[in-house]
Amino acid sequence: MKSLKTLMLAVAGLAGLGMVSAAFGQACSATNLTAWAGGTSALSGGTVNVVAGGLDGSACAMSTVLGTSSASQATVADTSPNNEPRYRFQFLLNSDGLSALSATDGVVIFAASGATTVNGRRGIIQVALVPASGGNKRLSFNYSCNNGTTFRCSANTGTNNLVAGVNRIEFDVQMATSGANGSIRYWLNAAAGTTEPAVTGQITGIDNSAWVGTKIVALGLGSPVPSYSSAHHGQAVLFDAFDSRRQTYIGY
Amino acid sequence: MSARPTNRSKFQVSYCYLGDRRMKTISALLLTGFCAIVPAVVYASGGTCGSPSANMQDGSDTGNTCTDSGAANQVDAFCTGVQVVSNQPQEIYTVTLAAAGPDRTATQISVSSATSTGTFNPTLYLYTGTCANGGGCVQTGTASSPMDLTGVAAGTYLLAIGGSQLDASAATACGDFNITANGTLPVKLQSFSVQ
Repeated sequence: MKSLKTLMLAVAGLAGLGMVSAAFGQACSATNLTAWAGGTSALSGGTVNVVAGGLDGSACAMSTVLGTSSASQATVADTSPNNEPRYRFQFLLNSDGLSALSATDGVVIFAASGATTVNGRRGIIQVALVPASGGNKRLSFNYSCNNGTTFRCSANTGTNNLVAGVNRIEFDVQMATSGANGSIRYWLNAAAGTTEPAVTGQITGIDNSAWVGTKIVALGLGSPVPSYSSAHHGQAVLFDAFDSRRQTYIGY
Repeated sequence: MSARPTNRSKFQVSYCYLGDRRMKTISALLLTGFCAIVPAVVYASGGTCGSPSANMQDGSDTGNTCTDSGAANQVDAFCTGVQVVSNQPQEIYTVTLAAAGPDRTATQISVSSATSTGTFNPTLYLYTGTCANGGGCVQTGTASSPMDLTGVAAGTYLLAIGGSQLDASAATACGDFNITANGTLPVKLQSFSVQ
């Protein structure tokens, strides 16, 4: 399906939190994106549309396209999180519409931010689509951390590249509760099931308590590197089936 | 500072390309001046955030991020939210650009590498932020896609070179590099003397 059609109250394990769940609708109408409390941002040539052909076999998916400007943005936002100290999210991604990424081409596909700016940063995690060797694509992510200097740390999915077609991406972001015990765990294309499997990768020992927790998230394309804007403007990336929770593994 | 040199009756103006192995003067008399007493070889290739190199001001430089003194992971090289130079050994330059025109004919800066340790895809990162924190991303460039300067405004920038997202061994990939502008960057007035 193309757009978020309903706002489902996701079962949030022990916490019982309801956040946005992207049940994409049947009608493939942009009006379904209104389920995103933060609305749609189609800026500087960016476009957000609902198109036929859901990534999970449903009717519709969200299609995002950027323009030539590095300020171009094509996202939907959820403002329902409430400074969540633990935030799990999952979505489907199909980036086959992009031509081959060169070494510096990259674009942010998901961002979670806290309520306030601390040490010059508000973002808790940003996930980006970047190139990998052999013409492949992988994810990189940067996250706020108390490293005493830049307050930004970074990592990527290493040799775990995206596959052609649809990718199921799930993250579990935990803010530190004591010292550097925050963590980011992720799963790429995990097997079907709702019992948490072994992680694809993880970063532990993160001192990120200063940023408190997730308050707003955005899904879609934004913050492109200039070389991305030059080479990939007008190329569509598809998203579908976004879900978020406080506690339990999402899976499918 | 950047300025076009002018000749006046009582002044001799020196074009002194700091960092380059060449030193150009318009008067042999200046050999006794500032340029003559500053041996160009003191400027090593590349540089650090503590001491960025001015070598690129002449339009080209070579180096090796594996072996050059000071080469290390120095900058969070992010364009917006995307890291474009990985956490590998990097070297830092300062580059002053005039507005495109007679003072700046260069339209791009290219980079290449012949030998490396690990998979090394040299990547250029032009930025205006603080040296170590990065930010203020202006432009990027790779061996296959030179850095486009056509839309870059006049000003002084930091230029980092390091590995890329493509590099399989992000912590250790390094190698030699050759950075070349395809035209002139502004001539910097480095000294003058009264005759």
